[in-house]
Amino acid sequence: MGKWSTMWLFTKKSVTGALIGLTISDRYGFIVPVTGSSMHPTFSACDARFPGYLKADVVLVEKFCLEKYKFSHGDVITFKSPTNHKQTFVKRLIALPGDWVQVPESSEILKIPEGHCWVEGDNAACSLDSRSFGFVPLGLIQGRVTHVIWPPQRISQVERKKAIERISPH
Amino acid sequence: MLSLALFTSYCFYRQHRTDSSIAGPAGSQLLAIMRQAYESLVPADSRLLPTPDIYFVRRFLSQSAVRLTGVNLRKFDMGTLNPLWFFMKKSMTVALFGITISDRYATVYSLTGTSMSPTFTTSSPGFPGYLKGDIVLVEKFCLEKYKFSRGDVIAFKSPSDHKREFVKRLIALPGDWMQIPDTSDILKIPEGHCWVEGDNKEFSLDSRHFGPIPLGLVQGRVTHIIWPPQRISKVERKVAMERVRST
Repeated sequence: MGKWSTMWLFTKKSVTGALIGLTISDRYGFIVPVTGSSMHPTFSACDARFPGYLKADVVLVEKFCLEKYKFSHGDVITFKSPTNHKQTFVKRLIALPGDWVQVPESSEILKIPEGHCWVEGDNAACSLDSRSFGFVPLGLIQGRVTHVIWPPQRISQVERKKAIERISPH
Repeated sequence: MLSLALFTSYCFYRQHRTDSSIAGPAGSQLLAIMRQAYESLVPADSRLLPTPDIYFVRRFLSQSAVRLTGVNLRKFDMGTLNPLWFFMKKSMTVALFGITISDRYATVYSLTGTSMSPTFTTSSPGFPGYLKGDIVLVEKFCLEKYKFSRGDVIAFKSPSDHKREFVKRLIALPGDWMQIPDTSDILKIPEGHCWVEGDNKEFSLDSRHFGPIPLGLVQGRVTHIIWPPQRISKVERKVAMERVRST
């Protein structure tokens, strides 16, 4: 009888632990490896296929910002791609709704419509971002990247870099 | 009986000070005696603290029991704080369960606005208007594989105001060609987007105003009306065959 009750206790504890983990990762913060080279040198470039996957930087994504949608210019954010809803991208937020932004390498000035934002990758040469797919609705944003937590030699806070020369807030 | 228990505990304690346990029938018999003695010392009204001498005797008994047989007698001591803690643990677990289910599997929405009549009748904003509107069940299983069909009623975050959610009918999926109503334009729905329209054309802010919406904004699919009781029903799928041509 002792064996069954210990197993039942263990099951209850692990289900509760799993529930707490799920709720925290859905609503507050989670940890994800970053693949691709579009955010070099902020995140090291790596291959999406195995075994490049293992050398990826692992980052902490926080979701507290989603409650009030408090983003700042220059934050690195994660969002679902507007062209492929199954993929999540990580890019830097350049401009918020109402700003005027100069599209790089052209002389167009665009006004960011209400509810949208402009994102770009740090590695402008190989980055699929708003220059390709246009404005990103703020509803697609999944969280904000705050820290790199792996590998140990790259543990650091992710800095906010504003592109002041290219945008003019309203 | 108390003195007998004390005496036997003391003897065994002295003799087996370095042992960790006594196995076998002698141990369980001793344990039974000690447990009886221990429980006889628990005051009848458990709100009272034990008097100091009884407290120390109880402590000695439980410590010896632990040393001799590895059984913790204190586990059987029920105090008044336990039921409250128990209740709090249970309610927290239930709350966690509810939050996880409503985030990932299904939730209920109370609808406002007239853009989907007559499919849904809605309430006026402000209490007690909420109670007269339709309450619907929104399921999120469809988000795992993004299996939507044309004609489903879906809930999505508005592309122009990320804090608001709309409920409209899905008319066309990525890759479809569709005719924009009241014009003769034909539009191809881009990859990763979809076209939504409300059933009540005059009062609906939908894709005719803000264009195709990214599928990533979809939050769930409305399957049933669950309130008021006379309107409990499944929400039907209405496909607009004459306007949409799929590839």
